[in-house]
Amino acid sequence: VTRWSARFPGDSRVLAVAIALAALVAGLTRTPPGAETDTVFVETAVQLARDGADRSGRERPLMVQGADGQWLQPLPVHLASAFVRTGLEPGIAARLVASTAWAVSVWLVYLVGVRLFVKPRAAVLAAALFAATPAGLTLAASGGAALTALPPLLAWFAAVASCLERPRRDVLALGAAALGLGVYTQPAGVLMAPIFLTTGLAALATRHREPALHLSAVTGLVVTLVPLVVWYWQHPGTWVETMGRWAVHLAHIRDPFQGLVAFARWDVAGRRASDYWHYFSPVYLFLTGTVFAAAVAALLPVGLAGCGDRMRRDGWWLVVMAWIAAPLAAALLDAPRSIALAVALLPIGALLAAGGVERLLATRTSVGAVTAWSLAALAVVEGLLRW
Amino acid sequence: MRATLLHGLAASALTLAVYAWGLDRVPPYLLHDEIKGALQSQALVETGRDLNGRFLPLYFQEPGFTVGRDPASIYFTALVLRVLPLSEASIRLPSAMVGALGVGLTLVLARLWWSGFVVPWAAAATLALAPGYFLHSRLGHQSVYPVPFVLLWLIALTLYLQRGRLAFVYASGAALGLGLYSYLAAVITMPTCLAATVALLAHRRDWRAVRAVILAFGIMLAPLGLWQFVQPDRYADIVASYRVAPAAEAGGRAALPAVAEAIRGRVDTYWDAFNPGRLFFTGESSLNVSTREAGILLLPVAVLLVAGIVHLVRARRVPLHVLLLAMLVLAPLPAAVMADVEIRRWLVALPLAALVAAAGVQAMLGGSRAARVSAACLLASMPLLFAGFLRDYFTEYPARAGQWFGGNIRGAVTEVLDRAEASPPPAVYLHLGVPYLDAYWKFYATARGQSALIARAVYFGSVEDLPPIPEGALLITHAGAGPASVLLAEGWQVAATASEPDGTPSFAVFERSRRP
Repeated sequence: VTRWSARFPGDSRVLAVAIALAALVAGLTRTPPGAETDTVFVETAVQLARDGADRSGRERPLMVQGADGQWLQPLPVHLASAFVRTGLEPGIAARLVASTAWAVSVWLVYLVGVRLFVKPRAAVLAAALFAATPAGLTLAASGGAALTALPPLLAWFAAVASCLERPRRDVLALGAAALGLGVYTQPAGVLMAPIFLTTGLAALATRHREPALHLSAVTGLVVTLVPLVVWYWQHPGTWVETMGRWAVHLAHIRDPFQGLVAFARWDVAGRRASDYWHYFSPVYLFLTGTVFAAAVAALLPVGLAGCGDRMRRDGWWLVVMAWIAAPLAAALLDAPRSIALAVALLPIGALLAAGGVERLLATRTSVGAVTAWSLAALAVVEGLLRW
Repeated sequence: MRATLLHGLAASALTLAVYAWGLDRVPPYLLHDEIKGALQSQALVETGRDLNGRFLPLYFQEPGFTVGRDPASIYFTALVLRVLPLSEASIRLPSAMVGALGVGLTLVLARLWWSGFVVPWAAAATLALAPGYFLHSRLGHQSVYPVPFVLLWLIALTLYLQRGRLAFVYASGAALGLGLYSYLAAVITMPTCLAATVALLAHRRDWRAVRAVILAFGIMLAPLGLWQFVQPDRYADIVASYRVAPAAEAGGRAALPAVAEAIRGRVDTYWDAFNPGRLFFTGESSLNVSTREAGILLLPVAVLLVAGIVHLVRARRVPLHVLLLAMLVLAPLPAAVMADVEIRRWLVALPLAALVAAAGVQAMLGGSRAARVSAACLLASMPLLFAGFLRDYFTEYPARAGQWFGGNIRGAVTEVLDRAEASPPPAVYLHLGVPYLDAYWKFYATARGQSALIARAVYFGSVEDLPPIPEGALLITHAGAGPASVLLAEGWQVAATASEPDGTPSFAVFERSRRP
């Protein structure tokens, strides 16, 4: 087993692409139990394709008023609308958006893993474990916007991981710009952008503290927000129901002190702390079968405890900090146990679980190797069974 | 050692001064659990027997609670009641004393672990200023009683590891064994501590000490074994009352899903035990043991705890540090087993957390200038935050918590007791729809020296079932509820109303109208 482990896999890139394609197919072809089509998303995409305008009557809107009156972020719904225009059945179009986002994320998890782990097999494992997450399967089949927040986030992680080795301002700026695109994907994306920008830069600062480098990242993020500024300049009335819900209430812009008071209210802080804590509940993550496979419960702590051995040192900080930050946006949105909003847990958890496999393999014992591969196989099989 | 004991004594005395303040006013009313325990203690003082007539029993059984109340609190309260008269304050004072003792013992232990003044006193202060510990220490309830036993165990173990005298190992085992009689949850806590001790000593290959600690623990188990022999159903009653084995109840094919569900529930409870929202912001959901304005621990302790955990993990070669962390992690086991997250079942975690926080203080004080300043600020903020908590506790909390303590039954009962001395003595009717009214009646009648009136009360389930009632009779029931309107229609009149601090009437005293 240990010799086989050393050889695995042959060409990691081919394998990663295959896993990503499998994820795409899985998301499109089957509907696992618990997956319900996001009808508002689908109807809004249809309306955009049909009328070229949303419910508010605005043509090609940046913020889209959904069929139920609630506002949606533009990227996924415009993409779905474009697919509908090509003649695709609306439900399939919505699933295509989610599944594509998922498949791209699988590839990006591999890409991040390659930069973080010493061996490419761990990157492939991370991609496979991510592709087999029950939550990923469910969200892809539901066809909503949740998964579309992941490619921007993972592109940013890939940029940071790459810059840990060889810092390049343009790469970092592009990564941050990609992260900024996350603002246009789903409600949690708005808060995820500053949270993960801070996380990434903090990890980067463990090795590179040049202000110009960090400034390039901030600039990259800010540039992607320019369309937002223009939109709110032209349509100030949409602020309250969009950013006022997803990030900062208008009243708190006018009076930041009141905003701070509202944010730091004792009961609110207590509730958010509870929400945040419950995102890490082992029952929620591993025993309900809705987020990770049960076997990941054993791999993830091992990875968390020891991934420092198997990943390059600064990369370890990136993953650990990202894991800690993953449910922050959802908790700040007062959303308890909503994996659609805390979707960042999935790829980071998969990376940590792959780190756990690597650590067990590093024991260079048959028991370690058998345990590692058995748990990894169990996690993937559980995902397949759910599919 | 004498200086250490003096420090401990001083910490206990200071704590008791705060913890015993205003016990007759806050919490606003007595809980039925406090009353039932106090009645057992009072019976012990008066007759040497429990309410069932058993002479000096090990456990105090009651109808509906055959498992029995644990002896430590009953006997200690009885000791206090030999000196002080029965009252709301006197039945809560023993818990406050035990809470204060816990703070003193924490200081003693901290001084055995760390030199200097600041770190040991930081440990004691962290515990003393923990709102959760303060609140539990002011209830006449057993939940705080396991704390001194666990601290005595750690002190004895520390002394053994420092001095090598086997007597200390015996003492640590005995402390754990005696702790079994402090609270039902100790049935899980104390064996866990014993297992941790055995693991620590076995790791040192100190088999002589392993035997000693097990022997001492075993000797202390003897009374429990004898009681189990006399009351063989007790163990089954414990299991049944806490639904520890739902799978067995489900049986057959339903057993496996029931087991899975039970495991999920218990893991979730365990995880929730460390929920920072509860620990540092809002405390328990029940206003009996929380003001909802402060956490179980003060917020600055969160930072000290993290610093302490990091420090202790880095210095994991020190066996007692490993033991401390292990026990902190294992502390919520009783909560998990019983699928009830309330800290009363694992209050022993608080002194352990205080010690970890003290380790954090030590680490921060030995760190950078910023860390030292931060530690100073955090420590300085704790008394300020506690003062804010106390202000709320003594002013606004009683009004908020009144209903959680069953409401102002005291007001109605004392009103009737005042009127019952009249001549001719009126008949007294007590509505069983008011929870535990019989226990409150017995308690206040005894406390006011009117024990003769206890037997005069007639209990009834429904106003419709009342027999013909003589004129001038008094009756207690809910105010404004169904029974009240029926009574008014039948010629009763409201003699008095017992209201909550916010003015809401909760209970009414009715008087059978006299014919003109």
